[in-house]
Amino acid sequence: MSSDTPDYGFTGSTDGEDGEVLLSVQALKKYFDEGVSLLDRILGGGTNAVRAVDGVSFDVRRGETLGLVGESGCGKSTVGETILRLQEPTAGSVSFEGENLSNRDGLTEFRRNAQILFQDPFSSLDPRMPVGDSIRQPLDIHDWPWDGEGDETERKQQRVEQLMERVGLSADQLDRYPSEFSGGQLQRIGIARALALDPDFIVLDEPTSALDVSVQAQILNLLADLQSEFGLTYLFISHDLGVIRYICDRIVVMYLGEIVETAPAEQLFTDPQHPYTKALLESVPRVDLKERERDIDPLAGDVPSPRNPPSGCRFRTRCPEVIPPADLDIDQAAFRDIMDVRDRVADREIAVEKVRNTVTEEGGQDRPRVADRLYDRLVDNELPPEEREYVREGLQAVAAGDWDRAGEHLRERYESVCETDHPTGQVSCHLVE
Amino acid sequence: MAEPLLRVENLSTRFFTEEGQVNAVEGVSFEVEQGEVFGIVGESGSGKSVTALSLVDLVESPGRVTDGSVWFRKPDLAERIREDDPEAATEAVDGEMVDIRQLDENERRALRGTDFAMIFQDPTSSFNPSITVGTQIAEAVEVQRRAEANPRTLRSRTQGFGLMKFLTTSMVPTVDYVSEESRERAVELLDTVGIPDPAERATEYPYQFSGGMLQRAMIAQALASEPSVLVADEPTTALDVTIQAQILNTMADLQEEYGMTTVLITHNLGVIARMCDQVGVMYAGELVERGTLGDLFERPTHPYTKGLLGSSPSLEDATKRLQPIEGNVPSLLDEEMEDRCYFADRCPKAMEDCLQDPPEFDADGSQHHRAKCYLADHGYESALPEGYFDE
Repeated sequence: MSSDTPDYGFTGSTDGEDGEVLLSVQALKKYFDEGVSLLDRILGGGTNAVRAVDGVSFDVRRGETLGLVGESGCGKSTVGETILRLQEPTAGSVSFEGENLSNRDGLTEFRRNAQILFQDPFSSLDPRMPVGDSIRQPLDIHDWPWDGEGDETERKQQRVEQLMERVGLSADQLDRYPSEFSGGQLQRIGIARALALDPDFIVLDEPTSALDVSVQAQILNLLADLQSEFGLTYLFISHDLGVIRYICDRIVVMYLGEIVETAPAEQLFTDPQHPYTKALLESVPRVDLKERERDIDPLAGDVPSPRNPPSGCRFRTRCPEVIPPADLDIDQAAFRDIMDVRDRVADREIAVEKVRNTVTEEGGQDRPRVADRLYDRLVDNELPPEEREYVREGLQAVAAGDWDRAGEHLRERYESVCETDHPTGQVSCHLVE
Repeated sequence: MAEPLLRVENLSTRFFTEEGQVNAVEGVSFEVEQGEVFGIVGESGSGKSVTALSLVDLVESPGRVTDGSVWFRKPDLAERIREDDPEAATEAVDGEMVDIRQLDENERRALRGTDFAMIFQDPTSSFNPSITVGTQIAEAVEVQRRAEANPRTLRSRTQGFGLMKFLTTSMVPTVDYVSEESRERAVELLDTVGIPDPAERATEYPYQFSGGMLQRAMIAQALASEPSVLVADEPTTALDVTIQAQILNTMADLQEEYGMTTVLITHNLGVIARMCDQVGVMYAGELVERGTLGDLFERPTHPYTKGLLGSSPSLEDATKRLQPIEGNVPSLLDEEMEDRCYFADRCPKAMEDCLQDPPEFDADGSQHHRAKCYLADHGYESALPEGYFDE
């Protein structure tokens, strides 16, 4: 973070690139095999696991707030849970203070130092346990106080009362049950519980998504104050870009299980590099009078399935800047259309049968007419004559029911670097390299 | 100035629960001009969704609209009521306006789905999972078609979808409620809202749609009757931002094309900024401030509106510290509510009068910008000692 920005306590002690690395995530993967039956495994064909997190690497520096942002289903929460070993990683490693956590030995120690605050305060506290007991539980589990001085019960009680007051609640409320608190208050209790063991690192998994804005602001300010008071390091997971911008020093943007861009907060918001980041920032409606005049060109389509993610760059199926082959002179909209046709051929998602029926009803039967009809339905933009002919040839193969040949035919001419090569680097895009 | 299309007066909705009476909506009044988008913004529990449901008369037991009127401009209906029942007309008709709340159940039902359409927050739970999307939209078209063909009869509702229906349709396919024309219209509608390959998608079931696509389908269904008033209750809250941007763009385009009047409920000030002409801010069941977008964003008078704006993190400027509103939303249980300004205990500028003699919803400067606050017309500072509410 640049030094001319006023310090509101979110920046902690890190400054720029050279902060000490507290937690390092290397090539982390988490696949979920649910729905893949034993039979599928024996037959070998059913390895279509959900690739929730697929090779994610980043560092969290001491004292900073690292934001992890992305849309639902991009794997950001799974990253948080896998780091804390609430989920077993499929592959990859996490090291904390230089120590690799892949064996279980250091895990108890690590879990004392790393805590998590969950999204839904109503379901993350035991409804049948007074909130004071919930806060005390981590102390009991880790045999606090570690110095062994004084009366244990009394010291624990004191600690719990202290924590409760530190998060802005009253110590007389300790014997109440979660149902007696509002969402914002419960989230404060969650924070108190996370702070109980004086951790260095806290994963904040959408901590304010369930709250209203006025209460959200209270919690965000509280988190910022606690960070500067206790020198905490946060991994802040959220889908809300406004919140992310407000509280984070550096930001990691995820899409479909992978990181697309990592950048300091200020830079990411003023000068986004990756086309997905740009689209994401553009989509957020601003609280501003000029908002109605702002022209948004939203991303088309939906996120592909994480069971079968696209090859190469995962964003290429929706990317507004997909790269055509060098020898092809074609504008972006037209090339986007061709790529969409190719995606649909690959997924066999073209209603050939229906088109053939309508053509038959109209008295024709020949393949070129079916192909023409398909072309009209699939391609909106004007293509150069050559390309029009070439795409039509491909669609004739589709009309003949030969999907593979159609796919191969189109691939030959239109194969993009975005699908063959997986981009790497701070900004995972071939345009930036 | 022409009369507004919709005039809501003193609308109150209560829920009679086991814990007691909940005043979900309390004396809400606003007007919506033809072709305008009126936004209602507020936090959860502020009564904004219940206000939407009250407008279209969909409040379910134990809730009930207990008071107030919803005036809707519909000259032909007003004329008809005058002819049919001159006595009732003195109460229920005002010029071209008709008070929907005083109509009988059949008349009200005839308005719903034709003149009034609604979009709900969660598209996946708003569709019947066992019927194709196309059929469900075609049903809406069919209902409208039949209502037009024979406006004075009670509209037959769509049939059930149980075993009987299955047996009858498989034995006598012609009794199918939905006609072929309606199905074609449904495909056209799906095309209008930007669903690629509409003919194909119409034959799919809701689970085959993504959330954004399904929300589009719900908009198509709402458009089926070319409604005069569209009530959209948090239409994009369940969606991701990139999909939200798609849906908002579609809604804005359709708004322009059809000239619909829209009541948009949301908690997101950004959505308000993108879509609305007029805005009402709700708190604890009451409308606390309303005005144009400019009035609210640049000249907010009610401390709650200011608080709401101050606590929203901005995408453009990260340097300001957020100004949260301290405290929590009050209980809406009738027995715990006193006659006072409900925001007073969180208000940085509260004074004695706010508790003793709550402010009226008053004009402030212009005809359209009003706030329910003393500061709106007096402008004096808080006179209460600090810590007054800490007991």
